[in-house]
Amino acid sequence: MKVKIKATRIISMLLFILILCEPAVSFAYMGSLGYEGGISAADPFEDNTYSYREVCFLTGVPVILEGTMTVKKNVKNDIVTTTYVYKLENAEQKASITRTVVMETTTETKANGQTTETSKISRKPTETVKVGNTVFTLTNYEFTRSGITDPQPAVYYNTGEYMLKKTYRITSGGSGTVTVEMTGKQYGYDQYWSSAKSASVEISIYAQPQINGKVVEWGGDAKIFVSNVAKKGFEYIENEPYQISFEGGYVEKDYEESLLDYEARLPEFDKDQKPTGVLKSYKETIGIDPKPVLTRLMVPDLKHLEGYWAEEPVKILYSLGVIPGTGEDFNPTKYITRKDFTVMVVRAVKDIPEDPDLKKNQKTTKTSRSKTPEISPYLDVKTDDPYYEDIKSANNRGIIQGTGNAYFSPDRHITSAEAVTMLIRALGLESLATYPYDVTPFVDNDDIPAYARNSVAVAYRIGLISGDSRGYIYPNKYMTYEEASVLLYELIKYMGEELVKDYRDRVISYR
Amino acid sequence: MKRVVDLSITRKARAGLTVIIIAVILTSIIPVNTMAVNGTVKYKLVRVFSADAQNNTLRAETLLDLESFDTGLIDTEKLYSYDSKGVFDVFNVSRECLIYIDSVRKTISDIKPETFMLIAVENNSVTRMINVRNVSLQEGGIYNGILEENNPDLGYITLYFPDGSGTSPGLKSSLSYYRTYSYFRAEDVVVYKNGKLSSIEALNPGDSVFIKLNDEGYIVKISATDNFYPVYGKVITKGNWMLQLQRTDGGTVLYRIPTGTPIFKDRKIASWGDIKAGDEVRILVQTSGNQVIIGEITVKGAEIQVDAVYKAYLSSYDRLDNSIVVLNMQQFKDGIWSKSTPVTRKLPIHDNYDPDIPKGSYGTVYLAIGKNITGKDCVVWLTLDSGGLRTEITGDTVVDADPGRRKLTLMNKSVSVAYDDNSIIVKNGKLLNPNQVKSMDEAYFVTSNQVDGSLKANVIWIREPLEDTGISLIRGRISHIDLYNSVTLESFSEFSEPKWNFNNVKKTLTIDPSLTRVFDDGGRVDLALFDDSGTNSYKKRTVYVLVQDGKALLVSTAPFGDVVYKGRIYDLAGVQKDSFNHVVVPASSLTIKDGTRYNDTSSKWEDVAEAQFSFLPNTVFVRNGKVIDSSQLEIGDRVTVIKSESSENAFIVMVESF
Repeated sequence: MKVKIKATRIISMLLFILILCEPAVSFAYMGSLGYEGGISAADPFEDNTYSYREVCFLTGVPVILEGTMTVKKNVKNDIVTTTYVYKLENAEQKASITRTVVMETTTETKANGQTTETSKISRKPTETVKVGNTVFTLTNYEFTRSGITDPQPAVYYNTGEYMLKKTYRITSGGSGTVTVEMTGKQYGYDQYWSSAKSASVEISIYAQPQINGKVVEWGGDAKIFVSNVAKKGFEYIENEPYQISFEGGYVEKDYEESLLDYEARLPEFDKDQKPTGVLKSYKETIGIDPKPVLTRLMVPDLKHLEGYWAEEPVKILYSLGVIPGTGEDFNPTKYITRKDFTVMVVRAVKDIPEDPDLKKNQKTTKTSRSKTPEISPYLDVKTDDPYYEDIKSANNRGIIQGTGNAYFSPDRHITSAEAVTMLIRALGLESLATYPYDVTPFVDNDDIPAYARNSVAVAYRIGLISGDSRGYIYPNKYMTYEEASVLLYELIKYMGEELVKDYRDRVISYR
Repeated sequence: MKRVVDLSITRKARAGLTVIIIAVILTSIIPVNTMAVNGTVKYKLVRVFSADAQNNTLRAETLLDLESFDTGLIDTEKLYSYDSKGVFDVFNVSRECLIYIDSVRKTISDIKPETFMLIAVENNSVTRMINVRNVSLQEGGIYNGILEENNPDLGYITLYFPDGSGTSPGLKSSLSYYRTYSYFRAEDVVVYKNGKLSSIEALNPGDSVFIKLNDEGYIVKISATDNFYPVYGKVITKGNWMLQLQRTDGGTVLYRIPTGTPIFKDRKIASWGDIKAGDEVRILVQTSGNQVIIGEITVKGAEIQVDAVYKAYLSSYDRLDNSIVVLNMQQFKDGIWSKSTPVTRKLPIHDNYDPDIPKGSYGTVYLAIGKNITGKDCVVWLTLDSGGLRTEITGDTVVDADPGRRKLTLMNKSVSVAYDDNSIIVKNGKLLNPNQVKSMDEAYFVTSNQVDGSLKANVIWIREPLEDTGISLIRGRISHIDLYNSVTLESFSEFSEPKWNFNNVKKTLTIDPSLTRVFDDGGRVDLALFDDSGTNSYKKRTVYVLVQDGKALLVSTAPFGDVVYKGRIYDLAGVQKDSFNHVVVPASSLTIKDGTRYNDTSSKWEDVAEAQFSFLPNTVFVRNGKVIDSSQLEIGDRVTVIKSESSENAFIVMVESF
């Protein structure tokens, strides 16, 4: 008996350790941009390695350096230890940077599911910057960062802020010190169709080099906007040969784009490299945009929809597997059930990708556990239903809540109001509505059920729905497969293209 | 037989009987309890949404279910933790329903939204109602909602119904009754807007508001917050404080813009005149039903810029990669095509541009090149040569623009010039729509003769007249320097191309440490050394001074030059750049080809096939009135060079570019 208890305890402890080691990672990650005001893009040949570019202001003239940044993350006792190693150069300018920074990030999950993070330096960083004959050696590095992630069913939103102060000593080609201070604000989100990380960094530079034995002072400032975006697009490829068993189909293109946009004001220097009182302005945008990764999608059998106005949305959704099946029996005018719509939604808002740097370092231990019987979250959805896993996933992710008393009413037709509510809940954007209840501009605003009014208002604002030409949305009308397909197609476009604009394009254009 | 009643009952039975008797008595005294036990009657504490006197219905949100019709049973703790779902039930109100508000018998018309009522529901009908005071989710007398109307003149504000409905025309009359709150004097009402003390006039439809009423039901305090959200679009037409926008989703919308609306551009406050048709804007709007409140307008700063226009040979179009392959690119610079580079280049096409390139297209193509989001060169517009018989470049002035027929009448051409949606029209580095070409625009036209004798413009490069920067170049001997403050010349000559005009008067120029640069024979020097005393005194030295608004922008000790050349930079010798196009080593000299030289003797400009000029450490470089350095020169730049007859060094290089 004692042995049995001991064994149970050991198994419990092992399970506990496994839980601790489980990636805190299902949450969004940030940091592959680093915290030095640079940009990166994943290296297709090396794990944890990124092509990286950064602007150096230490000499008083911007110098762009490029190379690699490797990011390695390890998790222990809920603390993520991240090691950044930079190897950068600009051969023509005879410039290089080597830098190693190790930081620890502690995460804490709050009652509402949000995760807060705090990062600090855990080991003394090293850095050497060479520009021409001048060598700058890092002597002091102060860093503090905090962040928050709000995990919503389809999107993890995150923000953060950091402060960094670095002091360098000129160890060759002169003498003196240069201090760089940075304050960064980060915004980002992670989801399947696109992800974005952006940061606005304010930089101030204060230098005290010695020239001809005398200390001279100069200062400057720079504003940097950096962004890293991953997004998906679709391209229709027609078949060249005539005698082929399937029609043309779609190729998914996975893009990664990084941009660094800076504006700096630095002094002009005289012939002895002494600063003058005249400031020079610099403005430039650089980027990294590797070739997209191509993925061929299934070609559905939608011959009967050829030329139909909703052919493209339906075709893309079938190609992506959002609509189950191969298409030959698709009836656009049929009313869609709650179950079928939920299946489409859960497949459209796929699981959120995990942090690749962290994931690759995880060591998972397999344990044999006796299989416990599956219990459906809803009394009217059986576990042997072919779409049970989709319904369960939708429930677990908080996309659906059922119709009350543990029922889901899977075979009931879904109304437009219900469908829109489900999508906005998945995006987690209900809070964009006005308090306490929004007033929509639709003519039939008063027909919108109270529970759906805020979602409909938000869906209108973000461009998911627009109403008909007379301004009606018919919120209580049952939705057809065609309408559901168009709505989900709009959702995918929104998640792939529109959301990116809010985190990058519009930040640049309207600041 | 006498019936005998046995009264001898057990103690247990007696106790039971007592309970029954008490129950009967209690039932007769407090009938409520009896009904509670009854099960067909339910008691609910509700928050009223609306009361319809015509149909005798009550729409309300149930907050608590109670055991009896007793306000004392309300568990306030439970009530405060109630999470409102915004789900409203419709209750039929019995015609005999007893309604008490503040202990006074009232009718259904007297029930106002947001009132907390204890109701008895029997057979799906409300049979009794009593208002409940001191039970509020916020504070006694506090109401909240979305502002529908604010009328400071008549002293009232109206809210929408608590669930966001109330836009149906039929509800208007009931709205004004149910959700209207009055005040006597606006100045007596404490108003907060977005957390700051404000006035009642600052409240707008669509604001989220909290209202506090006094015991008489009048407003004493309001706090509000706005609910602006961004709408992005392109200005289609601009009228009298009116903008018609094409939203990013394709729909169009018309906004009336109140005068005084904050307008921003390039992080600075701008004016209504700064918004132009074709501009992309972000408008912060707050909607309330069909009412729109405009918060602010920001004009997009980063328009797609056209860095250069090229002519090239189109080799292929890669749709999958969204790029084109071209050969022999020639840049269009100030009215001429630059030398061709026999290199094949693959150019990506801008994400926001979907060119119409027919299958199998090849041949001459005109390209407007800008930058994509990552700063890489890309095609922002292109036009395929329509197979014209002959192409030519002309500089001319538009006399009449007819956007309807897409034709331009030029001052020096007898034939009108046609253009279409594909024509590249550039002004100030910005791509224009065809209807933005105006009469009196001066432009370079790259046209091709069509078979029918007409002319078609492939490129229209509208020249922005160079602003008079007020900059002048003078030369004179320094008589006095007030360190960091001013420099005085004994007399001076002013350059008036191609000659120097002498002025025998003193000239004092202000030195501004944040503007003034000083170059001596060895290069740029510290302003602290620019003094008229000491061993390195500048007194009596003859210098060039670039002057603007009485300030010395630049002082140079370069030698006197009286020979003037004009031409285009054909080559920049010695320039070295890094892979990011940053100049590592600036050019040491420039070469012009097919230029001209001013002959002072004959007072004529003479042709010069080729001329090379070296730079000194104190050579002065100016572009369009701004001081530059040699690293900012570009091949193709139109330059004026001042030198001396005896040397090949350039003392002054002035660049003019459109």
